Amino acid sequence: MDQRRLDRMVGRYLGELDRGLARLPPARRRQIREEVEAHIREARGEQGARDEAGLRQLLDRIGDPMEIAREAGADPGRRTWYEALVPLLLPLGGFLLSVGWIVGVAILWASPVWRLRDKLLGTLIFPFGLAGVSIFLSASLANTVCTSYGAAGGPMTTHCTGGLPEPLGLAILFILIVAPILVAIHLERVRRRT
Amino acid sequence: MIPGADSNWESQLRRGVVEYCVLAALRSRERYGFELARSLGAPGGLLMGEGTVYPLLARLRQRRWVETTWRESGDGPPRRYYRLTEQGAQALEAFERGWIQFRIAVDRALEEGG
Repeated sequence: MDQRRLDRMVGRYLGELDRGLARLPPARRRQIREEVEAHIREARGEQGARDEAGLRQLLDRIGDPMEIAREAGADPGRRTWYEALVPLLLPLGGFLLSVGWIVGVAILWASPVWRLRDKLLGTLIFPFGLAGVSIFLSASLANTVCTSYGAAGGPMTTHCTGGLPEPLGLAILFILIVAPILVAIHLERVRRRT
Repeated sequence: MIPGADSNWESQLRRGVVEYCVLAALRSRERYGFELARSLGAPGGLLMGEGTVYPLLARLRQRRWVETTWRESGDGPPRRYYRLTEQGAQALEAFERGWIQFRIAVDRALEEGG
């Protein structure tokens, strides 16, 4: 059995524990985290746990990370109401004079619910959310220049330059609009899992 | 009826007494976390999994009922050992007296009811 896969399993378990303990004071959180880590190390050394089933059993014996967090008084089930706003503020808050988006980002980074990669994702895709997207699109459309020419009374030909080329443009448009929505859905799912 | 209400008294009771059972496990000698987790965390025991002993220990330490020291272990990295403090021993003694009275009172109530 691949050792790295087992290490990843332990990593996931400890990651879940970290999120569960996130609301505790740092010293208390550190002590519990260190002890559980040492426990896993010792138990693995003792019984081997060389395959996935063995390790799973070992972790089951230690218990659900959320149960440990509850015992610690971290109350992982408790969510604050303003965290629920984040998945709405990031895509849509930009329309509220852009202040809404800034508030959303501030809550996102202050909250222990999301991991670093969620925070980066929420901030970078895309700045100011859909409002940012609409500004970008109107700017790129403004570059489009269309000229129509043809003989008077005859058929007219319209030729446009600048802007986005057709198929690529549509793909970009699609990504620009869908990506912030997907990120918002992802952030909401992570929030609910905690 | 609240779902799970029938077992609610059990978890309340466990929550109330489990700290003292951790203290009792330290009465005769100091132990390190893994040792305590193993002895208290056996299935059917008082813990909801071995790992839940660590938040309990952290709480007892904050209350100064236990204190910790790092000791070298033969093979692996150093271990954090837990020891009962004077305050902890007193708390355990007081609990024991109260628990015996409590147990007698409950037993009597159950017998009289029958």
